[in-house]
Amino acid sequence: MDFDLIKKLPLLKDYDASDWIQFHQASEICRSALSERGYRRIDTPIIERTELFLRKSGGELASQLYSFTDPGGYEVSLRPEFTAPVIRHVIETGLLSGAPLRLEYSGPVFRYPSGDEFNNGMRGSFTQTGAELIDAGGPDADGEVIFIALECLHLLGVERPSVALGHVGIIWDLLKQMDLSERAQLFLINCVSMLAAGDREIVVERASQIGLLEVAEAATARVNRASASIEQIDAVLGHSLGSSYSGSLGQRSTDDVLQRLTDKIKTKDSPEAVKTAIELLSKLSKVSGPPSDAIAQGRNVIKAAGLNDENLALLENIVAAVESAGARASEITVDMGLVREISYYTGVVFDLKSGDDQTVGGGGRYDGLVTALGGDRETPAAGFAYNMDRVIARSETLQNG
Amino acid sequence: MANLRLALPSEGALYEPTGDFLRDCGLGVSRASSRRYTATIPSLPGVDVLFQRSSDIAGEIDGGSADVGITGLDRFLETHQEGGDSATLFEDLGFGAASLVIAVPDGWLDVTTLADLADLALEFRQRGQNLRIATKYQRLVSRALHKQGINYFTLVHASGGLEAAPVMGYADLIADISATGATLRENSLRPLVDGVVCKSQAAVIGNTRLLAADEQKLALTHEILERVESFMRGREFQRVSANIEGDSDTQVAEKIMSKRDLAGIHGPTVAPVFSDDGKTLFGVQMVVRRVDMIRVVDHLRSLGGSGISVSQADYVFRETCESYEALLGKLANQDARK
Repeated sequence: MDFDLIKKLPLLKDYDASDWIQFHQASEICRSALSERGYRRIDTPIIERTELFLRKSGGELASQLYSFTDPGGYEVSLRPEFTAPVIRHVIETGLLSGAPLRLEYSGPVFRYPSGDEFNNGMRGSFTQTGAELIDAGGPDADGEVIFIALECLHLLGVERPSVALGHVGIIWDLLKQMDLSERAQLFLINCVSMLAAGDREIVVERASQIGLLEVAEAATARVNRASASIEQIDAVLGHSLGSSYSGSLGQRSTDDVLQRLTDKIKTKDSPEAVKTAIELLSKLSKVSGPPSDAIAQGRNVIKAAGLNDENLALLENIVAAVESAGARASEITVDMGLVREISYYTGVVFDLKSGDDQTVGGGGRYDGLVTALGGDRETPAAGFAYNMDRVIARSETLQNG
Repeated sequence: MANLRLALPSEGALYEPTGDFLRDCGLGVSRASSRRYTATIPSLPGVDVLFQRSSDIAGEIDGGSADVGITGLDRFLETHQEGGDSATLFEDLGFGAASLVIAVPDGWLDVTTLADLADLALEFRQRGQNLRIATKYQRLVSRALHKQGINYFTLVHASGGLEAAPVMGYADLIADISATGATLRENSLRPLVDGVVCKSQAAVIGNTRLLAADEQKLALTHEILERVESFMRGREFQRVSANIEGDSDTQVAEKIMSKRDLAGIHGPTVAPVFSDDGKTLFGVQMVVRRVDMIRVVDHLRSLGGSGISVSQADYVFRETCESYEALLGKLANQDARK
């Protein structure tokens, strides 16, 4: 009997001997440069509990997980990135001592491409190489991480590498200043990259779909927003959920439903405030260029909206720290519309680019991740990672052996 | 050279409409008895019809046990092997329309949008519970929810009678196919306003690897697509004929063309009528869009048109069969990837 040929899965790649040499060399270049600066290599399992990647990583990454139930009944996923596993390892093994901890890693990560990426021939896996500086905060720590990320690109033979800096902490602060509900803030921060790309109309449409631009719901109109109570709402709704309600509510009780409805009405955002915020972010997200120009422009946009711009100094300090760590000024730009797809970042975020303006890596500060993953104290941390497949494709030294 | 294996739904909402549709396309299926799972298409020898559950058809095509099939687009998107050999050959056959929707218990007055659901999922999480969603569309539903930033939920796999899941207590909400929403309402469920995960209808799907490897299969698929496509287009058009008095064919044509949008796709055919009552009559024929039919009739009346008749254009062909050209494009791409 003839057997069918068993083919490789369509989204994955075989690495042949010459590929392997390139990856090995690249990994060694990074390891030795990082080791000189006190970073120690660690490795974590390729498979982790799915929960590790869901808790803080955000929607895009969650939808790309290779998830399954393992033979032992655990819900697991192939790692889509290293940061969460590294932090898990650090917390679990009690490595946090209060002193800065420097770790670096290299290995395959798995992300199932979503819609458009799938059609563009994206792969389901690539090699990620990166480093984390844990238990160290402030501009100097940011400067160290960003400088090393640039430096290794030079050593890897990538021509004219550069870094674009953004800061999600500054954007969060602006949204807080604008007196918006947490729900509206979360929605808006997720829209920044769309706004930066000029898709303001789509954002407005989505905001109105989820009710952020409604003037008032029937119930809201008749309930005093500040003092809405369960009794009032139930009265307005004509006792529809009174004890006589016989339908199913799943795991929820009538009180649960009414309590959340009350909260929802109380915290309803003014449509004007949401519109103003969309306008501001739409303008701010398009600000980019050499650091001093971009920051000055950003200040103007923020001041014009009547908000406090003092947080932009954070970005100024980080730029100064990257330079004093040894980076050339020409290698740094500021892009106020930069927010990365992973949602655990809290401060500076950055894209690493090759001379042909392709993103070959990135990173940022993620001060909340340690506690979100069960650590018992707030721990500042930042890191970067490269997509090594892209780095090698742009490195003449590695291409030519 | 082998027969083309065409998989059709053996039961469910798509069974009857698929048979009716193929008959209307001139591809009537002859099935010896309703218990028999194979059949033929007398007008198209060389085709073996295989009746399969509509949920299995995409899998049969992927696995190569059928070459082409008709099933719901939702089923295809949920179950086909992405990046594999199967592809849609004709995405909308104009029947079997339904939406995959996320629906919550009526009593959840506070939950009307996916944003509410995201919020609620977090609230559940904080209380140590998990939002449970009953669905048979795990791939489509989990992707759609993740895209909305809803990460905490458990999908409960269920294949029938999902609407009862909240009452029976094994799920809090459901995601299921709904054509009219009537079943949801009957079971005290309400779709979220932005809760449509995907819109679906019957589609033709096929295994591009198998079609590329066999000329006869490809030729039979070509004939099926020609019939389907021209029939679908025929439903958009009607043939109108009328008699109009005038001095010459050119003058009549000009009067009709004075309203270009009501004068047929390529303009009217005008020819003299040899009548014995002394009038100079011209017969007019044109193919017009169905939606314009009444306005065309009004236009012809205003020009003194008589004997106006409208008939159905069974098949309307373009210069090429677009869906077949698209299939050839996919086959070429497939070669390039090798």
